Amino acid sequence: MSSQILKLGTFAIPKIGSSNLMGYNPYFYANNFLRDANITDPTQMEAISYLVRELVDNNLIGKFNFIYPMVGGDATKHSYNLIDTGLYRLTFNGGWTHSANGALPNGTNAWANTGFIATNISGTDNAHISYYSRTNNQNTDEFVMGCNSFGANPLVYLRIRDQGSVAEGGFGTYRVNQPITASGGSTDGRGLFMGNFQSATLRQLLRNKTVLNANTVSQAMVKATAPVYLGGYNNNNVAFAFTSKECAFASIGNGMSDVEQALFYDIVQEYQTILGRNV
Amino acid sequence: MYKGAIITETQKNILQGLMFSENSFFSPFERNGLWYISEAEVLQNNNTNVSWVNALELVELPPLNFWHEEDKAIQIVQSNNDCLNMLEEFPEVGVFRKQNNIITYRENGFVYVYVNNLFPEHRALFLQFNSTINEK
Repeated sequence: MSSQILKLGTFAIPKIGSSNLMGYNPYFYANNFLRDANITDPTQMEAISYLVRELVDNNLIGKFNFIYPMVGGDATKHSYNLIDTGLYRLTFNGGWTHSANGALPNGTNAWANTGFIATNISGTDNAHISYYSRTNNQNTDEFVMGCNSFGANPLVYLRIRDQGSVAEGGFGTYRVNQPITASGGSTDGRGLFMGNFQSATLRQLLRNKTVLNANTVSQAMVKATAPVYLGGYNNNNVAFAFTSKECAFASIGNGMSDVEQALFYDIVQEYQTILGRNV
Repeated sequence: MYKGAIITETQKNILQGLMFSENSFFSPFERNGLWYISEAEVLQNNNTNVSWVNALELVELPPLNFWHEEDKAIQIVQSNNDCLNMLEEFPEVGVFRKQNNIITYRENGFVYVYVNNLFPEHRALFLQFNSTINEK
């Protein structure tokens, strides 16, 4: 991956091309992100610059409803959505520790409301949910992100390493949609975990670039209707199943092809490397 | 072991919906009948309207009473492997195990066994081995 970095503070350069969706200018919004989150550290600015430019140049920027880059700092810096700071700003609840490494939930009562509802993901039968974890441990009944539909199906969720060392991603109707499950278990809870739902017949669970498991049963995707929580799971507006895995990046949006997913991982990993916190 | 601070129900009602620092809300939680807030909320609180939070004593949080299998009615908890050994040593329980699809978890030094139902004679066997039997 190229390490060429935009000159600091030059996000306002208009970008014309296929990644410029319906007049959406990612550099304008990235500039807003730096302003609203009060990012002044040169390394953090460089990392955000790299992240946005590579997502644009690789035609991935249109894949996201939200990206929480967790660039390092405090709850304010970690709360903003890189795609649009005016949408889906995180509200943190309970015991989070914010540092240069990201946002660390305590696994007891820490959660954050994204305000995002999965029905806002465009398209049919495709979606992704991702979480960059810097922590290798197990949590009982853990969800790193997720919700149901006010106590009912359908669900959306991602878990990385629960009591059985099982990673799992779900998007649809629990145990009917056959959520993708790492049958062998994930022995390392660190890295970019992703539920990638490419189509009605291909759902993948990935760690970095490795497909842990895939499910090819044909089933239409039904999207959940309640706000997605980060650090836990929204069960009818009550948070539970808290994780203690440090979050250094999280996103939700459209599904990705195998090539796009590999590019996405490379970009996120290089972003973490620039910040000196890659795992 | 995680730490937190015990609060009263009145204090819980006061803290719910309040920020303890910018963009961070209190999130009181209940465990074993008591209300708590986390160590981070105590240490990071800069809300001067509830500055008493900073003076709360931090204590170790009691472990969660995990219930891993929502569709199972009975949870058997042991601090060692005796009940698992028993399942292998007593043929009648072994059959019971097979028939009832017993599910086991090991966590934080405890073994959790989940079953749909438990006959009195099997319950007695588990209790012989100092198990705790919880029913939903």
